[in-house]
Order: sequence, then C-alpha cells, then structure tokens
Amino acid sequence: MAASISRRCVRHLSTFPLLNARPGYPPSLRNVEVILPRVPRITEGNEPQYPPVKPSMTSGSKAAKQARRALWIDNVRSSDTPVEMIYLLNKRQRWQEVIKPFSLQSGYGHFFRDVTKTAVVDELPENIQTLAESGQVKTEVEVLTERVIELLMVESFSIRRKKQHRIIEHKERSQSLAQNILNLLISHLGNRFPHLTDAVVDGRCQIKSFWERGERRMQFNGEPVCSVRAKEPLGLFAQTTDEVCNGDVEGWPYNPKEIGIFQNHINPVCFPGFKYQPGHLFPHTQIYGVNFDLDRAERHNIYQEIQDNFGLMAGYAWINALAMYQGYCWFQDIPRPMTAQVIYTDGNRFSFYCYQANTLDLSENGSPWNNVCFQKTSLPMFTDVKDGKVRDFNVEALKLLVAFLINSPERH
Amino acid sequence: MSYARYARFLPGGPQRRVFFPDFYLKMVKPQREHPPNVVVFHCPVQMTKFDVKNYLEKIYNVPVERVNTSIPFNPIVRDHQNRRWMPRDEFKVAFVTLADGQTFEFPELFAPPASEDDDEVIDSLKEKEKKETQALASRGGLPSWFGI
Repeated sequence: MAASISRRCVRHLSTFPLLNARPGYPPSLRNVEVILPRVPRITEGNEPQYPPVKPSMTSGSKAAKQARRALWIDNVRSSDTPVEMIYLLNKRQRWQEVIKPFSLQSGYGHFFRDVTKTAVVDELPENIQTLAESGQVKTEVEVLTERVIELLMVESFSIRRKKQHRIIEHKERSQSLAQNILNLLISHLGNRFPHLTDAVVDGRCQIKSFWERGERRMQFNGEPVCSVRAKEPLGLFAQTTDEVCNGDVEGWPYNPKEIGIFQNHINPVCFPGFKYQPGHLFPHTQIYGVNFDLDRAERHNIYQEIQDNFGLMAGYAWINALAMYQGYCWFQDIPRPMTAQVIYTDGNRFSFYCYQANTLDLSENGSPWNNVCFQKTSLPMFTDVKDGKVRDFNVEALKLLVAFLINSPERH
Repeated sequence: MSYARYARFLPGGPQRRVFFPDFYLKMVKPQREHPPNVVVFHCPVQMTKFDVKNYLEKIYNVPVERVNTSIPFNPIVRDHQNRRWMPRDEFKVAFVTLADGQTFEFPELFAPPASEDDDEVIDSLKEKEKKETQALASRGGLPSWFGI
C-alpha cells in the first residue's frame, strides 16, 4: 500500500539517475515532481465519520481567537435585553478614538465621513424644503416672528450676564439662545401638533455613543443643549434605492493623531441622555450650541469646516445610541433606516442637518448602503442687535426651525 | 552648531536678537503615511515650532497651519575612560501641516530596486543556471575541482 502510494505520488524527471537515487540527497538538486494524493469530495453518502476539528477556546492561536470572537458575536446577537447586549459590548476595555462633533485641526471632515460611512449632500431633503414653503409653516411663522424678535432683544439687553472669558461668553450666549428659542417654539406649536406634546424633551444631557469601523473603535461625547425624543420614528429623507444611499465613501487611512483625535483605554459608554427605559426611543430633533473657542476657529479658517461636519457626527452618534437601546448594533443591523434632525447655532448663524442612518454595520463586506447627511449650513438669523432693534431678521432660518419641529411621523 | 540663547522677551523690555542663527531645515521622506498636506523636516534641536513656521513663511513663502515636533532618542555612550559622549548628531523632526489646501508629495529620487517578480530577472537567472548545469552535465555532475 505504501509502495503503491509512493509510486503514484513521486515521479523522477532527473538527468542524473545515479546521484538522485541516493537517499538524503538535497531536494533542490533532485528535480523531482511531487503529485499529492487526490482527496475525495464530501458528497451525500460520503459524509465524514468524525465531527469537525474545532480550535481550543483557551489557546492563544489565531484560530482560537477567531472562535472566541465568533462566540462573543453570537452572544451579543442572542442577548435578551438591550442592557445585556450593551454590557457584552462594553465590558472589555479597549483602545478607542475619543470624538467630539468638532475638531480644531483642519482636514478632519474626511475622517468623520469615513468613520460613519456618510455621504454629504449640500441641500436639505425635498420633503423638508416643501414643508418649509407650505401654508401651515407660513401661518405659524407670521405669529412667531414677533415673538422671536422679542426673544432676541431680551437675550441681548435684558438678561444680566456675568462678565467672563470670551470663550465662556460665546458658549453661554449661543446655548441660552438655543434653549430659549426651542422652548418658545415647542410651547407655541404643541397645541396644534400633538407629537410635540407626546415627545420627551431632554435638557442639557450628555450623549455618549460607541461603535466600530474595521479595526477602529470610536467613542463619541456630545453635549447638546436640547434633545427631543419621540415614540415613533420620523419618516425617511431618501429611499434606500436612491443613488445617494448606494455610493462609495472614501477611506482615510492615516493616524487620527494627525487631526487632534486621540485614544483612551477605558470601557466605552452608551448613554443617549437617559438611563435605559422603554418608551421614547426614536430621535426627533436636537440642538447644539458652541462648545469650543469660536474665535480660534475663525482665526485658523476652520469654522466653515466645523459647520460642514457637525451634524453628520452628532446625528450618527445619537441615532447609534438610541438604536443600541433598542437592541441593535454593528453586529445586529437596524431593520429599517433611522432618521434624526440636528441643529447647530452660534448665537447668530444656524445650520440645519437631516441625518439618515441606513446601516450601523460599517464593515467592508457589511451593508451595501451608506448613511446620508443632508445639510444647509451658516444661515444667519440676523446681522446685528443694536439701538434697541434687530437688524435684517431672516425669516428663512425661522421657517426651517418650524419645519423641523412640525415634521412628524404621521406625515410619511 | 551655535548655542546662542536669547533672553526671554517681556513686553516693554529690550528686543535682543541673534543674527545669523545656525538654523537649517532638511526635508526628508516620511517614514509612515501622512495626510497629503503634511511635510516632514529635520531641524536643529534648538529650533522651536514658531521658528520653523517663520522660517518657511518668510523665506520660502509657504503657508503653514501648524507645526508638531518631536526629538528622536539619541543614546549617550561612555568610552573606556567613562566619559559621556553622543556618537550620533542630534536633530528634531518637524511635521509641518500646510495651510490653504496645499498638498505635497515627496518625490521618488531613486529608481525602484529590481523585484523578484520581474520576468527579466527570472529569465536571466534561469539562463545562468542552465549554463552552470551544462558544464557539469558532461562530467556526470562532478564539479571541476575534482578533475585534472
């Protein structure tokens, strides 16, 4: 048997038969062509008698590591409650990039788009644009213009603010305007639009969210001024069959240290502003104020880039955190796209972002879709408040604010 | 290398200047991948980030957004009489981020080395081996050292 196998396997082709017949001759000089034995295919009636060889779960080998990871992913997917799922995902400490919705080094927008797999569109979606021009919004804006101008006057002249460092002054001015304008609009519109009274309005709650893209893990820490959460999801801004949702997002292969984004090695946190409780788990609208040195950003010509990339990071992270509270993550993708609306203001200019998350699975061979962010940035509400008057009040910004809040699940 | 140090300037005080400082900037090929707007230089350890920025902006008119620096480890060695000395010259690495959307790619200065996958290299090696084996064939594989 052994002799027949060796005859089948080995065929000598050498020109020096005397030398090559000697045992122990180095194979490089033997000119031997080796043919491996034919392995039969596994077919019906020819199944293996023994169970497959599984790698040991405790060894340090590559196969064992892969098996442990596969078991962990199975446990995550089959967990009973979202809290259990989040615990399995964050019980181990790892290196992660700590991200805020802005950075003060230029060129970070490319990294943000890569890390959230987002395509950016410089226009707001059609349904929001038509809503902003509709009769309903016009009637509301007619009444609200006076009240908003009054609010701006109060903010500038009547509120006594302690004299502080200019960075803190910018922060407080923008955050108090954001809070007061949203409170005014919600209380005014709540009468006629019941989805706003049914919603939960969170005050200054931190948003913390974590996700993985390839080898990188990200931890987002945001500090919005106000977040509105609803019982039902907002409608889609774009269909998953559209070109926008099926494109390629360019990778950013460099070290995030180059753009001022650094790592830490602690347990990641998922906190969309409240401890887990079932109920209002869908995002509606969120508003951010300034939380960085605005003068420095303008001096270094980074402010436009900050406004261009604010909503895409804040929107994705908020949706990701709320989706994890519903039991979804990058191993267990959301069954249908989730949408959120984000507003950013610096006390004068408003930027509006409509984010649609088609997928949380950002791996290379994961979902064929990419996420989309529709945005309109740097829309001034007024130029100046002087001599007891608000100059050049811009109704477009107010119309979009009202349209964002009126936008409800029933409309879709 | 000059070791001139300027006194610290406080507003209202005299402006002391060092003329012709020993400053140089040597552009080098980066050892790892950087974004396209980053250029890597070697400079003397006494140069600061502000010095690098001013050097590039005023002499070469290159807009600089920021400079990050690092000093590679340079070991101190003791000789047979226990005296400390540094066998290698010290230098500082400056990572300069260009402003105004400018990019720069370090050029390829030398031809790339011949790789093993080159068809020409493989063919030439095969011919060489053939010649050597032909010479041995007439003697039954025995090297010529054993011959007369």
